Amino acid sequence: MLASASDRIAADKFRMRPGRGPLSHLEFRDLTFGLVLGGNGPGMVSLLGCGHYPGADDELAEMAKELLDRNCVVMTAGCAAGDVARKLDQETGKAFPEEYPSMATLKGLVNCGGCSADTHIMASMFKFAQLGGGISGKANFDQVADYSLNRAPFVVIIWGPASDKMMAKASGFARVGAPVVFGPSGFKFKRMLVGNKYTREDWTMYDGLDGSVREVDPSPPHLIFPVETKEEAVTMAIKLCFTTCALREPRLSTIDNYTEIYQKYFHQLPDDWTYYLRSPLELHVMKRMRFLKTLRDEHGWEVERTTASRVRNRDGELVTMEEYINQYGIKQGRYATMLKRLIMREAVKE
Amino acid sequence: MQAFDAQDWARQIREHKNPLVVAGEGCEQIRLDGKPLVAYAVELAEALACPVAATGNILLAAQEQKKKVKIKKMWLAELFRYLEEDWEDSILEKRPDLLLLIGYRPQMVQGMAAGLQDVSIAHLGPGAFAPAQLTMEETPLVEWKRRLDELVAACK
Repeated sequence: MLASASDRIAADKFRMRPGRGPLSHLEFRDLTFGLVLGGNGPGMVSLLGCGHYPGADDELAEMAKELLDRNCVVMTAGCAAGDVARKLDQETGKAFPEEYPSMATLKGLVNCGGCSADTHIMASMFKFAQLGGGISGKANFDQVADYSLNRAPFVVIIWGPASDKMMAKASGFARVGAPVVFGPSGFKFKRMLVGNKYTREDWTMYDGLDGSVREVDPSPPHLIFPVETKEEAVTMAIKLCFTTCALREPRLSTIDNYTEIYQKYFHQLPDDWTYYLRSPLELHVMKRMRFLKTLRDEHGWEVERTTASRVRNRDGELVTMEEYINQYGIKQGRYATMLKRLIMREAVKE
Repeated sequence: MQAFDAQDWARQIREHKNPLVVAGEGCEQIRLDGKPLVAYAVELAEALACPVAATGNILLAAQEQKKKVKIKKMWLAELFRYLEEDWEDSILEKRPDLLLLIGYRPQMVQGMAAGLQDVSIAHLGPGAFAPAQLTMEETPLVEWKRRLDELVAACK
């Protein structure tokens, strides 16, 4: 086999950036403004995998391109970084990684290093919580995970064979609050963490100030999710960038990208995009009128010019936007948590 | 190789009130004597007057068959998850009682189907899926095509 492929092996040369190792604090401070506090990046997507599967030559690079075009930060490591770098621009002769800055910034493509450098990606989630949320990482795993899951749009795509190593990594990423998309052999992975957006009683959070339980949007809807194709993988990755406590601009960016990529690959609007909409201001300004028309015609919202006077809640009742926001989701900027012990105590409030 | 009785399959399928054809990525990749597997999925759904849950990227290919069948993009893992609790998805008003899986290798659905309760499974290939109530065997493509043709005709 090696002899028959000797020509191909000899020609298999490509340029890639060296592994960066751990990323700097400065980049994550900047990234907080790009992903959480404002900005228009849907999230940080990490591409990992063991290679050696049909389509390895270009599928990861195509996924990376789609995500980078959508303003994501793309992190890679190990074999996946090699697969991403294999793509060559035929016109310019540039290698794919040469087209993007090797920085943790929007539209940045970072090679963290060898396979074990996946840990730098997970470490960056802790760094993000520390720098962006002021959360101590010392003996404080669950608060970091709570922050990652509900505020920081991190997603991991594991592409290729379902190796034991990748299965362990998937579990680790899910535990720290980064949803994992696993494909195309992800169905062999017996541990899936798939949510059901229709069981509304499962989607609740504590208001971090008064401790009340609130119904929230189903985001992120899954933690470990298997997919069949690369198109499903990137679409689901964008969908998993939804976070419950997202502020307006990141939510706008995620809704915009989710509806757009779903229409691009599946030629229809997703059936759940309205679950994530908290205000017409979270619709992209260039598409707002079109979406408001869809909301009026297909979902029964009452629309007046560029805004919605009454909206349909998840019970199907027409309510004012203020009532809707009071009943559903987390108000922008309000502290919320999934862990009862992280509700702010009276002494702290005083 | 066991004898395949299309009439018996059709009778067993018709015993269910809410069948759902679930068509996967294999439907676009596999052709049986030039006919794409997705065509069988849609024809079967039309014969049974049931919708098609199109997973993978096959939605467009299924719509291009131009049959009067409701087709919706779904995600395989989500579909199995919805079956664990009260059914609410718009593809069917009531919870399906039979899944006709087509275009999935057995190892893709094995883990998820194992936990299902009160839902029958008919696996139409490729490969043989032992836990299913009805399953095609590992057959040559010519035989597989003959069986699918007979099944579609028997279900009409």
